[in-house]
Amino acid sequence: MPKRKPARSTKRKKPAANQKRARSSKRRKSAAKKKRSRASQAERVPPRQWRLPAGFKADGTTMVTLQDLLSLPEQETKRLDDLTETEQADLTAERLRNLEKFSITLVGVGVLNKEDAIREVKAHTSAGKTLVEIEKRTLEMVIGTARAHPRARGGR
Amino acid sequence: MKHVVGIDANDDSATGAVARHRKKNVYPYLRARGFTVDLYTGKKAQRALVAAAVSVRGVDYVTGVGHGAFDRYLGYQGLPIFQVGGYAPAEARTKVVHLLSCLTANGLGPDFVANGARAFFGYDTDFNFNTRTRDGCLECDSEIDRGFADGLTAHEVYQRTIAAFTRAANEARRRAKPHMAARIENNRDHLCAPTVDPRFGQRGVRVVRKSKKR
Repeated sequence: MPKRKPARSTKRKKPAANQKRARSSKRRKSAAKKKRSRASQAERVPPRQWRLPAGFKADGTTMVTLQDLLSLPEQETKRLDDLTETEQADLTAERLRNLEKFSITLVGVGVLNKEDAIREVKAHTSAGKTLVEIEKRTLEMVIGTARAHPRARGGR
Repeated sequence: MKHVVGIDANDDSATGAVARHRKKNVYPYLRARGFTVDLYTGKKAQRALVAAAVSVRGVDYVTGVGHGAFDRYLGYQGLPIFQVGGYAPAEARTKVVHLLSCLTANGLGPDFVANGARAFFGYDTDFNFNTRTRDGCLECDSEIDRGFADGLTAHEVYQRTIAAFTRAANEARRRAKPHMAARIENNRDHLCAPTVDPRFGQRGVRVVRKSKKR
């Protein structure tokens, strides 16, 4: 006679100690994964930044993208602080030109689109100088992020 | 009751956006704190009307948005309201002045203080913002008005405003928006106030006493 299976208990069985450990370890791993994802989000350099001009080669004539700037040896590129006023303006204008769209409002000037902004930068007006300063800060930020967190390059 | 004169030029898209923000977020706050607000906006933002309003005794605080240059603050249709050498000392005397305007901290601000203003808050560069991306720049600048309404000293107002700009910039960095963070930090680092230089007045001045309830 075949053995009858014992009826299933309606009571929920207490999980074994090793199951408990497994669950808590899973939870911990999931939390760590979330934390890592948040961190990488914070460290990410936006994809478009990699394709924008970010500096000059040491000869001061050729612009390089952020991607090239970071892959070239430092002595082959000019440091951001070493750029002349004209080079900074040229770099800013080129970065603006490479953007799909751009808009900024300056209280003293009004709403500037991409073409207006490039014109102000080229003319070295007060608004243009503000735009150059903002671009310089942006570059310092993205170069800093990319150098400090190599994982940030994954955002490409 | 404390008296505020607000001068909001709003005849173009840039100043119009700021004026709308201030109408919604700044003036109701000042009124709720017991201030009487005389607002000169649109066609009323003109020299003759404003000069008369700020010369009245009992006006403690002057705030506004408008185009500016090193030596002048402009109102409706770009006509000067305050200009170095073009206003009476009584218009500045004993007042705390906050102008959300470009460049006025380079000349007009220190001139106000030299003519008796107790403190000046403004910018020595072109103040930037972007309403489309909600960068929070206008909100951060409004901390100046709110701070004075809350009874803080000029130094405390400066610290609170800088903290607001820094929070906004950090949030932009967190959202991987370095350009927005750079724009916010640019405004922050060009805010001029007594804390930055005594040419902008005294650090300890208040517009109202700090309420014990707050």
